[in-house]
Amino acid sequence: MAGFMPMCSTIEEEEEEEEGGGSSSPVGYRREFQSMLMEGLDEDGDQLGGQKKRRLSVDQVKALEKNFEMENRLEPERKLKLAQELGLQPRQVAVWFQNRRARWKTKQLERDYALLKANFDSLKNNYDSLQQDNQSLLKQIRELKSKLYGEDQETDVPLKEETRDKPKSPETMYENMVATTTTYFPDFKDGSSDSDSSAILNEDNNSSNMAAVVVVANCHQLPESKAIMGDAQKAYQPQFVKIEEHNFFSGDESCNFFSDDQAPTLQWYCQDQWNLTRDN
Amino acid sequence: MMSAAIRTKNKDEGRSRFSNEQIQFLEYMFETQSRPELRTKQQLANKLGLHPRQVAIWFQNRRARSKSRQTEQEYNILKHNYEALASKSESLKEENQALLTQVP
Repeated sequence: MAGFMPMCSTIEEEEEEEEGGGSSSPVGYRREFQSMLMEGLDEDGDQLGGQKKRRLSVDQVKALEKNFEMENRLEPERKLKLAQELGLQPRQVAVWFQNRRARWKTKQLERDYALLKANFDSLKNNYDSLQQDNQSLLKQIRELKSKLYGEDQETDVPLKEETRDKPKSPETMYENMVATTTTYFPDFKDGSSDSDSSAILNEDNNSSNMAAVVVVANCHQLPESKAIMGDAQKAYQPQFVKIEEHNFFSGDESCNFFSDDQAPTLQWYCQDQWNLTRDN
Repeated sequence: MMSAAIRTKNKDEGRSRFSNEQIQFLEYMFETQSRPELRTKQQLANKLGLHPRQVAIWFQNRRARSKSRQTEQEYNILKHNYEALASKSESLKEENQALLTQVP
């Protein structure tokens, strides 16, 4: 395009030109538009200087394409040789290669995108089935434990006994979590007995946060529990860090357990794409 | 598709280069309509002192560039989402493994 590239002998050197017009397109696009330079047309669109813009013949294009496949960059010797063989100006060959690279780049991007999309879709399928497994496991555990503990007991009693008796070290927090994981679930299901835990549940029904919820609820015996419960969202973070030490979860904070707090930018990214924060 | 421009060795360097003002105006028009009608293009050409065909081709190229940029953007977003989902997947796997120990 005339506006983007000056018509200049530097084309022969295959150098990138400063583009005009104040647009900020990346390198590849500038090169691409070089081919479409209008080169200052006269009234009927004929090129000034008396030379018509002619399409390359099919054979010429074939030969160029073949050559391009072998090596997409052109050295001077190859250029001259090709030009001679095909009956073209060296400049034409050079420009053709330049444009061809730009076209290739665009195609490559589309190929990459298609591949990424395919990978993403299959990852999503895996994730969904993992989620299903997760749900069914939790359900199983819940059912098992409710059988174990029976119906006559208050569901929060075992919880309180276990957490109160133990000192509040990180190790025992972990033990608590493992031991009482299942006892929490009846609570959460009913949303009843422990007011603190039900507050958490109401805040966030996302099941992938269940374990995280357990973490917070476990700490409700701690002195700062009031403050924590007051702002359930913020509370997740410090507790999460502690549990990280025991590798119960992946320590990767990008896994969006605390999506709202931790990754506002991701929400922006998500737009109408796969919604990582809520779509569980 | 024109696959190559015939290059003459004229000393017409820069004659094909649109002025900044021309580009500015074209970009401005592109913002509202990426596919202007023939009449619009003609008017544009008159206003800018260009050949209508130049305007037409500018828009053609501009659309292509827009499309490329968009794909690039979408690619980056998708990449980001992919990585986040992958990490989430790993966590969930681990969680499931841990839960599995409690079940049998």
